[in-house]
Amino acid sequence: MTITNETATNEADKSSKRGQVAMVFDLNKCMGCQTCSIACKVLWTQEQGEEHQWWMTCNTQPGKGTPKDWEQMGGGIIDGQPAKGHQPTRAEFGGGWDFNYEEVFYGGKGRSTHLHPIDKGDKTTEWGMNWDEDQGAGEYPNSYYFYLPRLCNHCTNPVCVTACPSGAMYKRHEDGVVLRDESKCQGARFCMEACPYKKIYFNYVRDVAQHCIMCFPRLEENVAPACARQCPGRLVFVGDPEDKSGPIYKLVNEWKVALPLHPEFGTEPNIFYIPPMSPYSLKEDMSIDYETPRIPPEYLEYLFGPQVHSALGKIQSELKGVREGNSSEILDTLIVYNWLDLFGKYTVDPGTLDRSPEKVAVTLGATRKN
Amino acid sequence: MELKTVGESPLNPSSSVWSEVSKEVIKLKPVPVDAQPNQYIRNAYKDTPYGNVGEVSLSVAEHDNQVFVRLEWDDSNEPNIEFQDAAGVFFPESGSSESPETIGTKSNPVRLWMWKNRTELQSGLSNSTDLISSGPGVFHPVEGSQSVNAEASLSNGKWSVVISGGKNIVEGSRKLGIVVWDGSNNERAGIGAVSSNWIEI
Repeated sequence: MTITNETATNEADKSSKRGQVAMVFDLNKCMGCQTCSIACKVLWTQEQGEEHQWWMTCNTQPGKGTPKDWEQMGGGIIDGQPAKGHQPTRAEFGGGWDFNYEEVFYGGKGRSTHLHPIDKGDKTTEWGMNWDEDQGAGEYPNSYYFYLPRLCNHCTNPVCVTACPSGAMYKRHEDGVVLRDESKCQGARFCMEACPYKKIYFNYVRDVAQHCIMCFPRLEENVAPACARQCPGRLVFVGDPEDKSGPIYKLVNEWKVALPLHPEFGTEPNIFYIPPMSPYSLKEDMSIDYETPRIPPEYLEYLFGPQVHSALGKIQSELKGVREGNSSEILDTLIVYNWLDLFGKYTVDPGTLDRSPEKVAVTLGATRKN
Repeated sequence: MELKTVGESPLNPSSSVWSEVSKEVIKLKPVPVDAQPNQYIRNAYKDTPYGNVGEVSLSVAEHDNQVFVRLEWDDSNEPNIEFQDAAGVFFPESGSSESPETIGTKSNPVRLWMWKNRTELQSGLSNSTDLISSGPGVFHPVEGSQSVNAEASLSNGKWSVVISGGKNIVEGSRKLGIVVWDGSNNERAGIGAVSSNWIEI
């Protein structure tokens, strides 16, 4: 997809207060089904040069993730200064493979070889967006893992915007979505270096960088982003983080049970996570060790910062109260009795929108006009 | 340096026409890190060596109201699949007295004709762009311009590149600057090597 100012309304009324759309992912509900990833892939990254791009990903933790070892690649803001980062390479993202369909299905070798990615010598077959699925960590019977969905954090301090020399990147005034005007992008990729979450991709065919646009054409029609609306686990809240009556404000600011990923990266993400609760460990005799959670707390602190302990403590306390017969607004909110309660004002069914070719072409931009 | 009028288009860097045109060796040096356009790039590249190409051989010719700039430099480095070798020639506005080492400034932008080596995947993209540059990497395409062309060849560890554009762009100041990016060293935007003095033509 090509994003230009024709498609993204950049020039909002700057005198109004800056808006922001935020999301909260409840990791206790995520089953790693990749429906979010596929919903995004199908909608946005099916064109040439986008084969390896997964603006939405869901990885098993602990793990190396995507791109491989992204947490060790630097970037972000340290002591108020943009920090040097590594630009993830095509090989570190991996994926986007071509397969030997011709050989297996039409080349008479269906019984002597198997379907596999074609190795082009560029190491892209040595990793992929979900390469270390379900590996996790720990030793039986105390092995553990959980899933971590990730997209662009549409940060309050988007260091990718700071790093862009050509002025192609900007944070949209009305909703805080971080976008790139591809007609200005020169393919320099300082944004990829600077982003500490490594959620920016490069299109090697069109010579421009690309990343999650938070489904802004859907937001403009009050439709929730595809990753959120398609989630079978119904675990993704979408909305205005400043709306004090909304679930995101309460989860993040009031109850403080939703946390940003790697807050030490310094960019103030607008994607938050309810950290995963852990089963208890088992002792050698297979009895339950009530003192030791199976997911090491220090690992969760590594991901979500020191606030993770009080966040988990709060949720555990609420659970205890409910088991004792009390009610809990926090747990009721996280249970989501009514699916559309997840989406704030973004509850419009996309199936009800005008999908005429003329309308879709204007919404999606120059590439799909052709 | 003489802007020699030639009898046929010398866009091909191997054209025999170039044997009639004099060459001059131009020294290049890294674009100053302090001049980089934002704090990220200044922080990230202050201790990173760049500006690998130390000198180029320059020739200039004109034909049919087009100016042709031929650059030649040594490059025996392995190609980098992430960044491609590239070069540019740029022209100040008439009367500008600023140094070329920043490839223009906000108050005194320059016209930059850029060639970029294209990969097989990028066969649908032009290898040349007509840009306005108002600082290192602060490049903006000249909308609708199709007046810049380039041809290049890499042979025996040496790039030969010819970039051409309209003579009207050159006539204002009659001087040019040169910038070269070594893709194998991840050079691009303001991370490259530039001529520190204007070359009069």
